[in-house]
Amino acid sequence: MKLFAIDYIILALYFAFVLGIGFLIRKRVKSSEDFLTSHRSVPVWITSLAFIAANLGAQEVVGMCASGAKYGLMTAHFYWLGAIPAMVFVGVFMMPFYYGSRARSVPEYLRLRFDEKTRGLNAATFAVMTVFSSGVSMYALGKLFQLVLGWSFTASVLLSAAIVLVYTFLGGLTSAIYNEVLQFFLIVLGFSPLVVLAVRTAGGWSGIANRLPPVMTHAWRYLGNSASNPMGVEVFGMVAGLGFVLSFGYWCTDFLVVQRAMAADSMSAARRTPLIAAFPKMFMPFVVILPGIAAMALAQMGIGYTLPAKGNGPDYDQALTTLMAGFYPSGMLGVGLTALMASFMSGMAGNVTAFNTVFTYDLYQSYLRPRASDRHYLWVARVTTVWGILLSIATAYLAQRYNNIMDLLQLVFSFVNAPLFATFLLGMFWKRSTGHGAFSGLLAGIVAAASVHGLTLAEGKGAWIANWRQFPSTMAQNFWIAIFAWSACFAVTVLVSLATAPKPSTELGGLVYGLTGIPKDEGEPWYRRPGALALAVLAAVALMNVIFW
Amino acid sequence: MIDLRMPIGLFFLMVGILLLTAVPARARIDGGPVNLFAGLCMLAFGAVMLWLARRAR
Repeated sequence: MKLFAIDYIILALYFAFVLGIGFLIRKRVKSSEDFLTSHRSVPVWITSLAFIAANLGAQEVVGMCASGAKYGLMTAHFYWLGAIPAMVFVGVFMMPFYYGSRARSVPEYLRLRFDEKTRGLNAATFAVMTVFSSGVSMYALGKLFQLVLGWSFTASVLLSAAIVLVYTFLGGLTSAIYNEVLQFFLIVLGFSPLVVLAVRTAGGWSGIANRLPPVMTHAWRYLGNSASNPMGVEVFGMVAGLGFVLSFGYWCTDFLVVQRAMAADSMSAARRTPLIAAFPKMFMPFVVILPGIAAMALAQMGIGYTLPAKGNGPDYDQALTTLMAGFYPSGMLGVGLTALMASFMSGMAGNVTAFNTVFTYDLYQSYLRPRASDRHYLWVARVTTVWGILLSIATAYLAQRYNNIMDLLQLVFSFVNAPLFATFLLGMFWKRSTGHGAFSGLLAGIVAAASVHGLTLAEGKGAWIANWRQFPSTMAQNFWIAIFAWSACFAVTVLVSLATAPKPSTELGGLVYGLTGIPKDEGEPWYRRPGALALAVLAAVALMNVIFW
Repeated sequence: MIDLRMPIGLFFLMVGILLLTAVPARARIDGGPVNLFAGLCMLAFGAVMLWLARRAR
């Protein structure tokens, strides 16, 4: 892929704008709360777009296009089943507790609801995982730009890291959120023409459907049996594993996304953030998955488009970049590559801002220096931003040297995240659950996840204890690991809670359902009422599932 | 607080103008005037953002 002057100018223009936003916001950062929580002052349309943009990182854009090419329309379940219902749940039911408790982070909510050790466990694992995720994202960016443009790995990693560092160092969370919105529009407008061109050339949706096997163009029809679809997943694994445990575990408890809603300027805005975000989110498969499906149809047409080979099959990871190389002339190529760079940077900045908040409030202020001045915490937050990015760079190089570190990190991440939703579900909706219960439940969930991985095999991965069962794909294995981890956490939390003393109800106001006043929204127009918005979202996503059944 | 619609509008307006300067460029497969249509869309999007920001002032 060859770039021309105009492509570099567009890339440079983007860098200038993201840095400019950082400089403009810098002036209003006067306290640690300004830097780490935006002082709960961000308008709802911005928090809503940032809510999905923080998740719109490299793995999302490149990975979902690759999955579209490999698995077809079933990949849309990561949105319609694996995101939207959980986004509705967090907006309607969980946000009143997050926002109403005045907690500054998800681990801090756990301290208020349960105890210090539960917060410590969540904060430490989250901080480590977040900085490593950012590093893995950087690694993916460096490799992609090296492969596609022939750029040096070091130059790509250092350039993107330096720009993210400057704007997050200057403006903190507000700067990251504002830039995520710019990045969101750039990603959508940068890739939409590619979708139109690829689908039109392939003969529209009917042309694609005629060229590909039917399993590639249906979301539900081939889920009855794991052997009849390329994901190797059956309906229960999909609904319970992805649609419930993994999805709710991520969208409802991961501070990276929840932080965006918590930055909103009112409780009503915080509740509406994930609900408004759900509307563009449900259309994202048409931007990131559809090009991958179209690529498979185009590859059969003999029009000069092919996917490079990797092993015995095509290299699906190159679906997006090969489409760009084929359909974008210089100019739009610059926009497309800038959109790709923006997706990497939004993911990286999201991780870094969540990391510095959790480190500063939940680790440094809690365990290292509890009663320092706010000026000191602001300084710590800025320094944490720097070393968080330095650690991410180090992880990117580590991933380059030890390729399987990425698999390992993703695995550990799923071990930690999957059981967490059980802890929050019981914490928010069962006042009898206790700190000892939550802590032991989390540990049991992690052990259960590790055990299932150690006892099952999929695509050569796992079975490091014994090979009790073989899964057709690592995706199916991951779904079942999540189901077992969540169930173990739920069961152990209930059992240990029943055997230990709960907090008195007077200490649980604002933290638990039944002891918290849920804000009333009568008299508001329907589009400002979370309940009505949730119904509209669910109806729209149900319609999508029916259309693409 | 800055009105975010302002920088977003300016950015897309400038990208739209840049794309319109590269209209003759053609892609390897499609061969259509992609930069023209995309440039006009971005120009329009940028203008709408700026108009919304101006109206809010």
